[in-house]
Amino acid sequence: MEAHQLKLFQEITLQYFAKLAPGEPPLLEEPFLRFGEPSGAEGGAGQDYTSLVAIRGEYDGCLYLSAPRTMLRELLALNGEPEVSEPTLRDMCRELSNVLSGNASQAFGGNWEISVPHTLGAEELRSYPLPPSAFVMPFRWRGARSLLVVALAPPDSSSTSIPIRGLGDA
Amino acid sequence: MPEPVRNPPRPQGAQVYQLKRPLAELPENLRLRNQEWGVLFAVTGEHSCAQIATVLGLAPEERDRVFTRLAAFGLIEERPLSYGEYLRALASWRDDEPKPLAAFLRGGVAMAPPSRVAPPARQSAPSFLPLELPAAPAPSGRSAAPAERRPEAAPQKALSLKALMQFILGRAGDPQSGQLDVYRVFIRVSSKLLQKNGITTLRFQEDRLIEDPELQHALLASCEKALGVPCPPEVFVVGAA
Repeated sequence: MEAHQLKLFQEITLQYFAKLAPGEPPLLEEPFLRFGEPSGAEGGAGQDYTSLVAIRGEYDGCLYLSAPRTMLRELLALNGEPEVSEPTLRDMCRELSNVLSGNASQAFGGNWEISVPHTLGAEELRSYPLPPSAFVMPFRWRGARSLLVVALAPPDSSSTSIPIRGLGDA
Repeated sequence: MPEPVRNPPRPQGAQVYQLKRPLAELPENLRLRNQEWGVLFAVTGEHSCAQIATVLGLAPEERDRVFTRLAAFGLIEERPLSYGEYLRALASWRDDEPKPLAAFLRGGVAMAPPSRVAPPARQSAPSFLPLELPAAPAPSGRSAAPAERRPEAAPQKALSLKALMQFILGRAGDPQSGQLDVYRVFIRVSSKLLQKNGITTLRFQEDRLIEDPELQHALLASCEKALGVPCPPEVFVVGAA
């Protein structure tokens, strides 16, 4: 993974939010590394929904965006959806998954194999085989703190085995 | 934060090292220079640094550098010696200046004292009776009884994660490349080992002092593998004794 690829992926993902609400760009916070399971505390608010794509190349792993319910509610409102329910929140998360997948293909296409997008609730994320080390880029948008995460493991590592093919959207 | 050690503690010629793990259990990705491999295979816990350096033709500076690096990688550790063993090892350390017995004994104790008296690690190693040191006054004028003569243990070297990250960030062309390089180094380090040392998250300006030799070795080895360069000695600081 090259720095310019990561930078592009980060930029176009944040642009998605900037375009939705001009004048209210997402604010990047200081990135950090995480070792072990994702913790709810690191996001401030709960990370209720996660949009994820698995990637394989120089390393194996995944890219994901974990967001609290409040952020998805804002997105629903901007998209003209008045109903806030589990199905509509999941639909919004699925929409984000598609955005993330397109962004990953744009940024890492060529030397990386990218899975179909996946949508996970908080419980599903906890049971997902995430690589143990992650590069976490938090950002705040409309008061909600979300996490854009790159989690990779060396190809010879047995610590994770994320399927690239057959990873359907939930 | 403690200041980085410009000249980290150097092994002295009289010290005796032993392997921390059997050679058969060395990590597959371990990479050492020829002289370091030579020294590693010569370390048996029976010969002083000076004796090994003589056999391998290493100059004192080279000897110190090699032993420091092997110890920092967690491959070797100083073996506790009895006073007798220690003084015998001291005799192998070349010093051309003639001195009386008392000065030799005082110098020996002051130079690199055994932290504790222990039996030889191997039964086949020559055994020595602990040498009762004469009750000569210590330089400070305090009583020189054996228990009191033992100077304080040398400060333990700790690896500063901030210094390590600064080294990596400083090599990169821009901050994000540097952060990605830091991540590349940590990807290859066991997260369980990091968590065992209390590290579950790490910010790029944050400092943690790592005293666990296993984690120190893992970080140094990963840095060399991921970035192709060894870490400079400045990543080590003097930690708690």
